[in-house]
Amino acid sequence: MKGIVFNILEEVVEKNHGAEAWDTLLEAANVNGAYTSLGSYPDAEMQALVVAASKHLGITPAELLHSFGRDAMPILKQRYPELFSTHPNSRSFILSVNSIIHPEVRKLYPGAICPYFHMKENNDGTLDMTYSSERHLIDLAQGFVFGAADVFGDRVEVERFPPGSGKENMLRVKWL
Amino acid sequence: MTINPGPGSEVTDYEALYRRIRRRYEREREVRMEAERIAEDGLSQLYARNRQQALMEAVAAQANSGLSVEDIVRFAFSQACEMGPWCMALAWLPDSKGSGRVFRLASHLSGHENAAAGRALPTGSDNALLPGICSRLQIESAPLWLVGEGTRAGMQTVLMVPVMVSGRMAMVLEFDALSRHESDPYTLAMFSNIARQLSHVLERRETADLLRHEATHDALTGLPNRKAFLARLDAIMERDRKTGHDHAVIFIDLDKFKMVNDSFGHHAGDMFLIEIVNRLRRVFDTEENCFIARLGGDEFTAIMTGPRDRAALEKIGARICQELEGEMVIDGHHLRPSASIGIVTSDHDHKSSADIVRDADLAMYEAKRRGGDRVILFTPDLLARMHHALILQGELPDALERNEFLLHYQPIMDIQTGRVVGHEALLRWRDRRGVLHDPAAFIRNAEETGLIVPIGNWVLEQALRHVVAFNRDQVPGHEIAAHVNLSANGLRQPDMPRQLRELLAVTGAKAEWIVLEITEDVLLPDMDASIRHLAALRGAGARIAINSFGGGRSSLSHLGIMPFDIIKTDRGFVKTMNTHGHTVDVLRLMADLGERLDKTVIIEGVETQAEQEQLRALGFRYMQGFHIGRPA
Repeated sequence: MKGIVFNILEEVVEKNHGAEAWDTLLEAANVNGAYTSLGSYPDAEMQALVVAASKHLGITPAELLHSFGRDAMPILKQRYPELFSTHPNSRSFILSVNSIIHPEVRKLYPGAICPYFHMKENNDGTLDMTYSSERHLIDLAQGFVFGAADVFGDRVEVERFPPGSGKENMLRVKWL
Repeated sequence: MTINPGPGSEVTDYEALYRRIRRRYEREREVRMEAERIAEDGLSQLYARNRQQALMEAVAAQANSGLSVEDIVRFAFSQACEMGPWCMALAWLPDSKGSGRVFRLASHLSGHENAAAGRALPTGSDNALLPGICSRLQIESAPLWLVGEGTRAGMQTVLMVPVMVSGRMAMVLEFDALSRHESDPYTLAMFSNIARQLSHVLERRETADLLRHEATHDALTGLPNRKAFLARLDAIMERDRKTGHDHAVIFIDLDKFKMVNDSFGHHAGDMFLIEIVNRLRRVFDTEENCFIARLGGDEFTAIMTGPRDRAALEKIGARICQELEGEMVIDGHHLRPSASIGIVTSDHDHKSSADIVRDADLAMYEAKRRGGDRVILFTPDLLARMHHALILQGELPDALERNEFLLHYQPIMDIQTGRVVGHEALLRWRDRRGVLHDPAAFIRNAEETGLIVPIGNWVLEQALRHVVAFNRDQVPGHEIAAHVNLSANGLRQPDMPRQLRELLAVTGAKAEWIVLEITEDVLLPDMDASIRHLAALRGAGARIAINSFGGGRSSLSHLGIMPFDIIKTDRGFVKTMNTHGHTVDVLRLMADLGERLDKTVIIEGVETQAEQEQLRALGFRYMQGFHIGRPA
């Protein structure tokens, strides 16, 4: 995983829980902690950090990824304003993820592995995003969706489907 | 002043120490982030340069692969749009005729599913290239990078790249982005490079097109040439063989075109042909499914596809004749063109395009043989007749060498004395199959090929040898003359008089035994020169007879100026002597004329005893004809 993700997580943690919290988390997760944005680090270190943080906060890893994704979005907007400025709303922004955002990410961070979302716009206005990645970070993706809505001043609901339903990798986003 | 704190404060002020370390950490972090940003920018630029380099190489490879311009453009578009920031690319072709209009050759939308960008793409009247930009590109011959609204609705950045071929803008590539992007020299260099590659492809294609057009079209009239015509005909024949549909070929050969070229020069000839093509187009433009070509020289052909019966085809032929015959003025000369037209339909079981063109040609030739300015539809018997004529034409050049010519003689008699006074030498050709041909079967071809000169010389020599034999046992005063027909070519041979003298010496014939017969038509084109030639021959001792006098283009005025000795009347007089009231009066005048001019008059075409008696009563003495004696 690219160091930039660790950097963003660090920023989120510091913003919400103070400068010391990140050190505490690094120690609890027993990880190295020296991350540069361009470097690549083991996925296991991110998993350890997520588990340690959820234990510390008394929430599930899924809940932790939701809030990480949501809180990361304003930071991403600050770092990469040009990816946001061309979109009038969060729907347009989310729809451009495969064709614009992720190609840009690959440009900035050569070797980055980005997930692919199969998009389906339903007649009722909802959007089905089917997540596909080896990393199984759909909960982070859900957090990003909420975060994107926040950034554009929109409100959304995200419907999830139980394991075994065949739609466990789908996010059904409804704009309110 | 010292920066280090004293040993005492180290233990007491942990708060301050923490703050200092904290500040150092913050600094370090900022330094790290700045370093990361610089590295990220560098990497990202390197990545972009690599992608651009790869794209240029890929486009260059495509450009050299022989793909079409459209395919290469589409490839470049898809790659460039994938690289970003472009979401749309368009290729425009300015109208090559300079109308200022542009046509869209290709377009590409980057593949985001239902993205808002996709919905923002221009449609309708917006979907064109602004003329102002077009002329700017043409003048500057360099890419235009436009940022901000206004160029293309919904787009914040528009890049226009002209593709120049020999100083002319052959294409414009347009790239559009939804977001604002400042001009970047690397991107500009990449697109300029792609434009250069396309320019080479276009140049090669234009050269190839030009060569192809030149190879298949006639430069003067712009019509398809023989090669293109035969290729099209082959394709149509192939198709109609399968479908059973009809087609027809029209062969148009201008009458007397050579005269236009020879008399007025090649420039006039060219102008003449161009006007002819305009007239032909007026006919064929109103006909459906036709293809007209210039086969070469003054020969034009047309293919008409679809069902048309003989009457319809003859009508088209007649329309061509009618359209062509209007007077035209070329370089101040008033010309009235006409054409010989042959038409052949597809129902004669032609095996190849060469077959059908040959038959159309034969029909045309028949039209020409009948005097031109007419339309002949091909029939199989035409082929048989022409076939025979063509075989003869092929054998004619060797006939002299194979000694296949012979002379028949028809006697000319003095009715008063009952004695033969002369024999007219008549040329015959016994071909290798033993068939005997009259000059009518081959003389035209002999004249066209120039063979008439050696044949004429042979005739003269033979006749001289024979006349010696005729007179071997004749008593003086009763000598027999040999009459030899002189062709136009023979007459114009400058050394004819010298040749005649030599032959007389070689054969031992006397000059007064020779009568050279000539028709007035032969003399006409240049009367002054003809008179000189005749005088020279007469100077060599031969007598001159005017053949077929009173028929054709005879003129009484010629009698006053021409050096001659004998008048041979046109055989038409005898034929109509008893049916046309005034013929007898004319014959009476002719007898009187001979007497007054002191010339011998020979009546030709005497076929019965009654005619002989009647003519004798009119005062004629010398006669020739079947009744007097057949050629033998």
